[in-house]
Amino acid sequence: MKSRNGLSLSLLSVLASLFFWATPLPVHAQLCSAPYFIEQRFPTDTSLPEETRWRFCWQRVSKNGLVINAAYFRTSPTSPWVQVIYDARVIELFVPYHSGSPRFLDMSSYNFSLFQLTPNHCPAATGGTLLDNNYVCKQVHDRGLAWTNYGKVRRGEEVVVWGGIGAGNYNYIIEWTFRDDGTMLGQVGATATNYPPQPLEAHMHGIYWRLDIDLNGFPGDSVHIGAHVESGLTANDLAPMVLREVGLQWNPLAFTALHIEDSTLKNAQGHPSGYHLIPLRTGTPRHQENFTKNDFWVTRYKPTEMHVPSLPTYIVPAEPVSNSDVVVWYYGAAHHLPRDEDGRYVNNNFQPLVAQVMWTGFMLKPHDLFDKTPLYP
Amino acid sequence: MLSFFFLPIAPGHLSASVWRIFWALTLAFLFQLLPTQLKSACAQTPPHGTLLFDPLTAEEREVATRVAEDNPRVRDLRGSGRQQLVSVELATPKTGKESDEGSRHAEVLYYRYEGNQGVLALVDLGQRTVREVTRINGDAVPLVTAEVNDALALALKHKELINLLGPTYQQYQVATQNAPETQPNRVEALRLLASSAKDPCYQHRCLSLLFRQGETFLTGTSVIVDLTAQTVRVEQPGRTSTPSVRRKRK
Repeated sequence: MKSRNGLSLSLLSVLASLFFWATPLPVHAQLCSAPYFIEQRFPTDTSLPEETRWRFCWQRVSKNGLVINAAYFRTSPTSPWVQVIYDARVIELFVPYHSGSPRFLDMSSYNFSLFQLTPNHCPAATGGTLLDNNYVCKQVHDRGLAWTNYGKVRRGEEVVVWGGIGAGNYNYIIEWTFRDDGTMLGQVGATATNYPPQPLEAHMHGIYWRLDIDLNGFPGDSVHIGAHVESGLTANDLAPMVLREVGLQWNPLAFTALHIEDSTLKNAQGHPSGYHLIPLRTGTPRHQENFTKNDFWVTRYKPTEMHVPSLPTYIVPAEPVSNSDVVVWYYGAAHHLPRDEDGRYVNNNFQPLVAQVMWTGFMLKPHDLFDKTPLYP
Repeated sequence: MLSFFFLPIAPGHLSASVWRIFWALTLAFLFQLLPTQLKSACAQTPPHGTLLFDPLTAEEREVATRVAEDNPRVRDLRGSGRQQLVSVELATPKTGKESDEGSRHAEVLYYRYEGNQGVLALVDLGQRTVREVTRINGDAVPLVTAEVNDALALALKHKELINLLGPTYQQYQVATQNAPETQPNRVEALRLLASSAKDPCYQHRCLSLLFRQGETFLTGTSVIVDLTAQTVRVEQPGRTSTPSVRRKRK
């Protein structure tokens, strides 16, 4: 009997594990292995009680550099994980020169990849750790003042992952930031050296992000256009829903932002929880190409739609996007006016040497995701 | 669920007939599950320890390429002319089907010079099948290092460029991504896309080569290689010397 039970136990264990093996993963399960999986609790000081926590995957992808997948945020240790991102990536770098030529599409036209970093790129003293054979830097550090009210003060923290794409004479820094208050930032910095054939010619570094935001899972997402309107002495803030696929323009007078919500996600106050896509920009790049005519694009998820110059065709015919699986595209730019500080003159010829980093990006800020302020002591 | 399985084993005093009934019921229950669950598990579960967003393994890349190349539709679209395998990348399409949860996919991308076209195959690595084949505009297909090497070889036959580079012209090599500073004479490349049909690079695979000696680039000169037409143009926009072919400025 004993041996029969032993055999039975083994058989059952195998069969049982087969059953569980085949069961789909829960949505918040770890979906990648180390070092591609990052989980960060805040505050980072483990002697203090945990408040919030991020977990996400990253991957190195030829062309796109550093891609974020399956990013989840938890507002407290007892709260459920909320999915924020399924896939977030820089999808194009469009660099037109002022004379009309060249007009580089650095991501779709070349398989540029991340280059290896050194400890000088990612010092341990700044909370840096090099990952994946030094292709990616992870930094966990203080992010400055988060809040103060006279004598009361709260400093914030963040975890940042970044890598650099070697794109010929240029390097592009792809950076993703996850903050303790649930905010996420995507930024790109253009650096290295000016284009040697035309080193003193002004140009634009147009950056496109493709953000597959799956709040609380992929169905049921909707996008609203946040717009501020002044009228005489009063003002109003509107947020009409985007009903069909569309391209939208950023209006500095309207503080245009996209509000992404999920029909099933509400906080304890009963308010719809969401994330606001807020541009961090210094201007608006418009060029002859049709794909530069809008700053935001809202499309229905299609895995093969990954080519920025085709964006105008993705919204024709315009399919419904309310309460569905949506993808948001954001376009920003860094305007580069070459200066003598970019290099040096040898025999009256300008040699491009040091184009210092110029940044552009966006913020994804939680809105009614927490039940109350996460910062009050 | 585990306690459901293990509970009946603990009491050692059950009679043999009770055990037989228990086993019959349990196995019947499990076998009812097995056809779908096992099929699903065997077909979709990635290699041991590989999760949905983990990078492709070398074996998965090889499988993806082989499955794509064996597919008649892919072969048909690739044609028999000059072509290039461009990339094999992890793909994580959302299908909304529970059966697709956790399944691993790869995208295999080819470029064919004839007609300036790309062929993109989505390979289901578990099922070892091509799920979708798409023809895409060649402008959306990135260059690969092998093409830059071809372009450099073509360029280094151009007399005007040889004169500009000097006697050490044969020492130039395509820059490797990870150690650019250790290569004294290196070449970097940027893709050129033409939007006007009058431009010789229109619908062609063109790139601009940047020649770098130490810290400094060969400035004021454009070296444009057309891989489709297999031609090289050396242009000096700010100079009066006559290039082999002037590039029309827009």
